[in-house]
Amino acid sequence: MKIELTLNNRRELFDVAPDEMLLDTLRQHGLKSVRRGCDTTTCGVCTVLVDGLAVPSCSYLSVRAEGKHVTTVEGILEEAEKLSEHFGDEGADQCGFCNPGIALSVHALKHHVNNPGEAAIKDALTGHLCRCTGYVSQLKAIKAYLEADEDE
Amino acid sequence: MKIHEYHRPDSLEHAYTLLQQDKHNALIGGGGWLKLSKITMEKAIDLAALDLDYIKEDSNAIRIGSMTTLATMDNHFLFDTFYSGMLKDAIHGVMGVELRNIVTLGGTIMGKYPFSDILTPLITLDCELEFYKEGVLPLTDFLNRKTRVNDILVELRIKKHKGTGYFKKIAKTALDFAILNVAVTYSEGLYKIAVGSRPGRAKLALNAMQSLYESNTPDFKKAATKACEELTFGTTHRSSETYRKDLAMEYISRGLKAVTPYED
Ligand SMILES: Cc1cc2nc3c(=O)[nH]c(=O)nc-3n(C[C@H](O)[C@H](O)[C@H](O)COP(=O)(O)OP(=O)(O)OC[C@H]3O[C@@H](n4cnc5c(N)ncnc54)[C@H](O)[C@@H]3O)c2cc1C
Ligand code: FES
Ligand code: FES
Repeated sequence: MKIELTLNNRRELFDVAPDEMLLDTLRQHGLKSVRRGCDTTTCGVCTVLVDGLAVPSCSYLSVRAEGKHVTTVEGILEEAEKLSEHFGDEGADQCGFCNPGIALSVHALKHHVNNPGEAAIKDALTGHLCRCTGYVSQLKAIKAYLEADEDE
Repeated sequence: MKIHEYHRPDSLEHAYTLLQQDKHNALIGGGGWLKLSKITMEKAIDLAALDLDYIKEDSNAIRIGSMTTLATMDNHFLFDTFYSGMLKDAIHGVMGVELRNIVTLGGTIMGKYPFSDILTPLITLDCELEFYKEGVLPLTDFLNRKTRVNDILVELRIKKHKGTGYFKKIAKTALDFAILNVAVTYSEGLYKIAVGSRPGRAKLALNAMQSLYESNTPDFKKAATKACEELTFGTTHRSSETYRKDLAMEYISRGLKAVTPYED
């Protein structure tokens, strides 16, 4: 099935199978930042934004993305780099496998919640399982990032 | 999940016609649950283009379109206060926002999942379902029906009674399914008690509710005991029957204390 969507602000055409998931379409397109961390829709590693909403791309039919804006971490690189500096400062990442998904959820959080406090950040982290580090360091890193972002 | 043909009809009639054509054709709501299943669909009928994603209010009821996601419900101001925010508490406990952004109310109701955190509070409210061809059915009748309703769920209507509510999900970890779900409400002299994930599907404790209704000085401990006697509990890898019963006893009592308009 031929679909057209806007991927990281560029119009793109895809030929997808009726049951193909966005995760596979994006990876086949070379976007290896979109990863599969589970087969039970529980890890959040595959998170992308569809029209600004964070969704698990492993469970989102590609045909459903027709005409929509899809954003991966490549589309918010500058922001993701800033966030990753805070992650580094707090020791909040090791292998980095979970980071792109978290960066996209933090982006969505910034755009959907006014002045997100600790509870909102925890909420945004709920859907992300990190195999390496602890959530306290991630929470601190995101807090510091959002504060710095506000000051800019 | 396998799909041979994908369709996104733009009318309910077209969607319904496709559904009736072949028993291997199926509707997709959010697709979250279907994705985890072994289903093979000849024709997948996506309900995304039918404008069924809405929350409206009229003088009698809150009307929620079947394609409304749990995230939309979670974020809607109406559920902040409706029955003490009980529905919001239940919805907010379902996984993370990413999953709530895709899974729908329609899929939740049609799936009749025994573990559902949403069905437990819903059956304590005055709810009816509107199907495209079958028309209106009370939620509890639909849930108790043995035969499958092969129709499109259009909306859920929750009557706007004033009341207080309590919801508790007990799970081993935040992302796990519930060991037990308890919902308790009070409205216009009537207490309602629902227990889900027993591990069976959510049920009302009708005898306990009746005894509370008839008593001038309701005894909450007694009511919780009665509820535990009339409902069945079971053992699974998540929890034993005894533990579930003990939890139910405690949380029903707490729920009743939380919703009652009367002082101790
Ligand atoms: C990984 C994961 C974890 C979950 N954890 C929890 C949890 O902790 N607590 C909890 O309460 N729930 C949980 N759920 C269930 C979730 O809340 C939804 O109830 C469930 O996913 C069904 O919604 P859906 O939109 O995905 O339905 P779908 O997968 O689209 O559909 C489910 C069924 O309903 C039918 N259907 C869908 N919409 C309609 C309609 N409008 N009319 C007629 N039939 C329809 C479909 O044909 C299908 O048979 C979880 C789900 C997943 C995928
Ligand atoms: S790959 Fe784990 S939630 Fe999508
Ligand atoms: S840093 Fe390795 S999974 Fe999170």
